[in-house]
Amino acid sequence: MTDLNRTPALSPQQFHILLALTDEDRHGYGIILEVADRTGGAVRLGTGPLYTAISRLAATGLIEETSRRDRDDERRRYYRLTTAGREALKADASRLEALVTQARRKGIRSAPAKGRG
Amino acid sequence: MSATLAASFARRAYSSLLRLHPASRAGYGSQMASTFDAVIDRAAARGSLAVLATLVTESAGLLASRASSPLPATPRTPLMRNITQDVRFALRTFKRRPGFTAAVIATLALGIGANAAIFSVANAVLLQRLPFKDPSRLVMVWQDATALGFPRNDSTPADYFDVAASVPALESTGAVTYVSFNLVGPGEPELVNGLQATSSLFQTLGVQPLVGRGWRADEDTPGNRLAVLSYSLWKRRFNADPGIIERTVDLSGNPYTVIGVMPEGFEILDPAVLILTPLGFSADRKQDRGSHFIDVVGRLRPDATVTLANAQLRALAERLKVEHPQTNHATGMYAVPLLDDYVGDARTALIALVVAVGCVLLIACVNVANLMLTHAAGRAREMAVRTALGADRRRLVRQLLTESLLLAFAGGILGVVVAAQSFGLLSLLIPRALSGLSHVTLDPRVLLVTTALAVLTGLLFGIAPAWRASRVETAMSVTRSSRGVLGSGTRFRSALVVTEIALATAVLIAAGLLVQSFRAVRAVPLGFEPAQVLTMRTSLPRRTYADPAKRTQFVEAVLERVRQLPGVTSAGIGSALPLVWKGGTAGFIPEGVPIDRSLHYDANNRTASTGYMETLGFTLKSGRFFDSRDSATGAPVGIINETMARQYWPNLDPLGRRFKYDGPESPWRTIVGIVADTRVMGIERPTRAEMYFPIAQSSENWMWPRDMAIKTTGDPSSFVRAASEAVWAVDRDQPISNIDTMDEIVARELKERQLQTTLMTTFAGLALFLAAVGIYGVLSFMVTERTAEIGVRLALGGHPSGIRARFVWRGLSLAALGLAIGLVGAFWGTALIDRLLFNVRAHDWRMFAVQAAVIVIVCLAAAYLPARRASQVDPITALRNE
Repeated sequence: MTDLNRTPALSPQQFHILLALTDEDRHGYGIILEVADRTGGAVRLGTGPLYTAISRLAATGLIEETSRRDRDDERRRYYRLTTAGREALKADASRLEALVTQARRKGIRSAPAKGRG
Repeated sequence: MSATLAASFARRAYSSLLRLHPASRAGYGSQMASTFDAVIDRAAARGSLAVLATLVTESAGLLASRASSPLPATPRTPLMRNITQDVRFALRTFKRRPGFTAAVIATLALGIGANAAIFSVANAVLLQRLPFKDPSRLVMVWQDATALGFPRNDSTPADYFDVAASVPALESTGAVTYVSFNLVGPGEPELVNGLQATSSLFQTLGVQPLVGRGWRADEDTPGNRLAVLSYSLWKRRFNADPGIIERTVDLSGNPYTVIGVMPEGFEILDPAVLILTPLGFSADRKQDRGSHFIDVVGRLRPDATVTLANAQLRALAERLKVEHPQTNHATGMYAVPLLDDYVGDARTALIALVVAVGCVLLIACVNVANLMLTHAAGRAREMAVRTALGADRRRLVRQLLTESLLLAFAGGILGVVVAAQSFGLLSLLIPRALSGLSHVTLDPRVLLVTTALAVLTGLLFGIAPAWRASRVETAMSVTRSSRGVLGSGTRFRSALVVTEIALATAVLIAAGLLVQSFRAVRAVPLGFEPAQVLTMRTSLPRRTYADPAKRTQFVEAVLERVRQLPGVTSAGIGSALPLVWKGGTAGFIPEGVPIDRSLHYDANNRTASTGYMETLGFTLKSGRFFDSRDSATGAPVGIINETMARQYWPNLDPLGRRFKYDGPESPWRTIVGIVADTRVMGIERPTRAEMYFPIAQSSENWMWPRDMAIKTTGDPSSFVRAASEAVWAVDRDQPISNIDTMDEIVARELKERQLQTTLMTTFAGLALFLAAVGIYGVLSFMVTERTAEIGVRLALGGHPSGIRARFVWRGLSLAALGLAIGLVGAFWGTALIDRLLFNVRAHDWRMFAVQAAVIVIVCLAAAYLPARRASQVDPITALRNE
């Protein structure tokens, strides 16, 4: 059963970051590219919001830094989704799904997709 | 500004902002910088504007996420917390006063942007480092034939050898002359410009080929077919293949052996020069003092100065006047530093623009100061309240400091955008000789200095009154209304406004004089009709067209085809189009007229086919244009212009009289026509005596047929294809270049002056606008400050019109004082731009009067608005608020 009272819910940025890390470990710029790519450019993470979210996710143990280093740029750090992170992502996805289901029951339908989406 | 430069600027800006970000302090700093680098690199691929846009959004994101950062992890130091508070508070203040914020930022952005742009251009031109060894020791040596109308004339072979031998101040000299080649294979045939140069040129410039070698002194022989390629040609045509050395290339039908490639960025005298070949002189040619086609470059000895070189050149010229009176009697010689020679008159224009834009920046700073003072005065009460609540005075001052810095920073970033936008246009200010070397890029130093000035202004005028305000007796200020705390500042602010008006007056007058000059230049009768004329160059290769009959044949065959094209009304070919080739003169002797010793018998000489003068719209004053009678076998004839007729046949009708040119053995030529003067040497240069000969009757090198002109009924540029095909139908290998309409050629001639005028006018408008805003601001402030007083006056029976007049009078008296100072300044300052003026005197009193009137009217309007507000004060409301 999904707990709709679960707090705190992930912020949209955090959700995107966790989602970006589900299939492979990535560095900050890699995350920006993956998110932009996946959303067709609709979501562009700035470095400020990105690292605010990353620092928060790392502090709460949802992601962790790997020991992998990049030959192109020494400063880069790769991040991995932890088990807790995967659980949190699942839980938040379910929470969102449940919310959407409830909205549907009330007759709220998403508007037809516009543009390139 | 190049994208790379913008990117490095963005990185620095971002990394300084980064320190404020909590995630950065939590150890994510270097990753963030790395990520930002990647983001900015991608933006850089889309250009410098994309970089700046990215910087702005990223900075905003950084500040926003910093404020909303959920990071509780690191405890903040009190200092950091205070700074955070200050920034947040400042942003709130700006939000509350969007008008004030926008005014300050826009003023700063315009001031900083315009300055960064103009200074960057000035930097690129005036402080250009030429790509030669010790470029400051390089000079050009010119002949001064002012008496003949050529103050900057080419040298002759014999004079060059004298300069090389008899001027000890020059340790080495090189001679060059321009040539062009038809470069055949690989790829399409192409007309390339080249230089013939003596081997000493390499040593004089201190530059050796990057690949291969230059030629040696013993290879300086006439017609020696060696070639050194420019880097760009080597890369473009030969894929930068080092194996090109010792291979042969076909230049105008002759095989040349490539022996070297010059280094990248090496451009001499003309950015279009792509090939260097040896310049050699036959024994006869070495004695030649009549053909002026040599440009002389010299290198000063380390201990010599230009002044010394000039003294020695003068002595040499005097000696030659005596030894060779026939050729050198009117010839002086002088040296000019190479960079000065390249920059030419552009220097005066740039300096004038720098001064004008500096005035705009000063006005902008004064305005910002005014805005800050008004702003601070309005907040005196707020400061008092905060002090009463226990705020440390230093904190209050720092609060204002933060605001000033944020405003200056925002103004600076926007200024960069303004500057970057204008570089495309401003690069037109770079003289042609430097266009291959100079690229206008945003000079970080300029940006730094202008931004620093803006910040300093903000601080000085934002803090000083704030500091005073924060010391005000608390109880008094809190209980009183917001007025009156800074009453004594009004005098200071008035002084600022006076300064603004004075500066604006000077810039306005300078702009007015330039506009007037531009009008005068445009009004100069050209003597030809540029509308609907297409021109194209068909330089005939020397080898294949050595026979004069063949050249005439080519001209006639091409013209016959072109004239048959539908939509073509006439066509002709000549040796030099007006405004395109400005040199080319020869001596002549009139028949049966006593020789006047005070005159130089020297005139521009050009050749023309039939139909050429008609096509260009020359006006025939008497006689006829050239026609089919003027063939190689026909009687030798010529057409002269009115200046030549007037100067050399005074009070006579030259029509039907004869003259000969280029030596006593040439035939007498009958004058068959006199045409009205044309501005062939430049719109701003006086017309010289000019003579025209039929193509079929001339065979000298520079009299070869070259430029075709075609008069059309429709859009001339739509005839390019058809006309080119007509040329190729006659000679398939003939290259065609320099395709222009005559209108474009005239426009190019005016381009630089037009741009200078436009910029100066823009700056003047900006200065005037800002000054008006200044007057408006200071009077508005006075009205606000004296609302209660006005209320009392009105309540006691004062008339609103009297109140209005008082404030308008106040505004006008400020304007009058500023105007007086400005007029004096302009009187002195316009002497600076004297060289840029044309048919207008620098101290033209009418211009001074007109611009003074403009200033008065604008100031009147700016003063009227607050004055009207004062007269509409409701006494009851005003007194109740007290």
